[in-house]
Amino acid sequence: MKERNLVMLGTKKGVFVFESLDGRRTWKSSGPHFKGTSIYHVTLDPRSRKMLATVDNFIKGPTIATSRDFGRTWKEGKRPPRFPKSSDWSVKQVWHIEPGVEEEPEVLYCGVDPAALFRSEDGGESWALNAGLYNQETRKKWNPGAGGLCLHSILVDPRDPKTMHVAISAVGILKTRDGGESWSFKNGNLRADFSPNKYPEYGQCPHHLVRHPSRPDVIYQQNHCGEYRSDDNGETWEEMVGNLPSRFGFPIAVDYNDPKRVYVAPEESGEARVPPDGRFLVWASDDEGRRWSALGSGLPKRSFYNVYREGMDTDEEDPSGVYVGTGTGQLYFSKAGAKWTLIADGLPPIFSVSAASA
Amino acid sequence: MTIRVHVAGHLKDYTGRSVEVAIQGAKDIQDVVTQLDEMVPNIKDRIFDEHDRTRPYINIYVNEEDIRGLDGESTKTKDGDVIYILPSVAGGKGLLSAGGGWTS
Repeated sequence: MKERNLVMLGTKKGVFVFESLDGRRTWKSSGPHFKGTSIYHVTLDPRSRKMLATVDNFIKGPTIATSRDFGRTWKEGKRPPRFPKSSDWSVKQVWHIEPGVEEEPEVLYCGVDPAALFRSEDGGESWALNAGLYNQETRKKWNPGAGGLCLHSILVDPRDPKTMHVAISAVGILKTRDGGESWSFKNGNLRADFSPNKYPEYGQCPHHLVRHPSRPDVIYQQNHCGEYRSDDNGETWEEMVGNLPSRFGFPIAVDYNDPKRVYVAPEESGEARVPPDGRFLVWASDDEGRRWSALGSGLPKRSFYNVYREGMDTDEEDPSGVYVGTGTGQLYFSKAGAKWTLIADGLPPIFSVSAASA
Repeated sequence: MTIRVHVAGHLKDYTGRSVEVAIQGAKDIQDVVTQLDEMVPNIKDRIFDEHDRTRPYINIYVNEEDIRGLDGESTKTKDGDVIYILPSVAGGKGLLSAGGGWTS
């Protein structure tokens, strides 16, 4: 057991940090930091132990901020992610921030709307546009989904930082093997039920990607049109909808100790976007998505919670903690999904949940 | 030649307690904001986007005239002008898309 367990929430009205020093029995919270500002994502960089936050203030524009004291104080970078003047794009929102690999301690990545990837080599002080993705030959044909043209998932291969995946809503998944010089679509076998061509080269709508930390070739995906697993580092995808009540949902998380155990929170459909049968449930599979079971102990019998794409995470303890933040401001915790306890209620809509041990 | 620049709202996070800054010899609003950025690091990025266009929810006034009704960021300035850089009044509706939930 680590000395300190942290749960960081990005919410519609700022960052909240929950901290446990007694093995996840009790929690103390701080926040909101950046009061009144939308925080789509906040996480802990395990290399530097700095917190990283995407800060989307509708007046001042988007930026990145870091904290060296577990969220007590924050510092904005000097040069936030911005397109070059030669571009006709302007950064609307910063969606996701991702630490690089251990060997590149100052490298960070972030994904923005409109869909672009930025890289920082100085711990978030300044950012440079990834030209390879920006110049991808199909870019001008990309169309936004309901939430914009957002690049929301970034996976860096811990064995080779030149290999990365990004996921873009209503565009799909792209992979690079040359450090971002060139990108190719990896959408084979992914459905696009909303399109005339059900299996196009691109135009699918991934909602969230996660890589298992101890088996990096294993990547799970919640898509607009189903749940998927890749066993070959995101080259090919296998559907794992199984007995789930719906193909549709946003978050997906993997158990830290068991790469075969995965969690999702299905919604009824892309049209309704409510929990099936009016009861919010997390579903888990112990066999890589072949069979699923509902985890409802401790959750209300009737509830219309929704969970945003970054709203579920697991920690590094054994059993691995599962944390779920809802769009109506509840934060739930369970040990491997056994029984949910409410850590906090009455929070602003929770956009992201990140768990870490320090 | 002195032009007084007043800032308010979230922008005061950058100027500290000061809400009035004196600028010398700026010929237009672009110049005012560029000079302001030299005195108050990073504030230009919060007023303008990367194409030097005023952010949608920032209003700039020259002697109480909104520059959107003048020549925008090219509006000329002169000695004695008073510039106000203010967040606009907005609300009652989602200004940004919800954080990734109700999106496809």
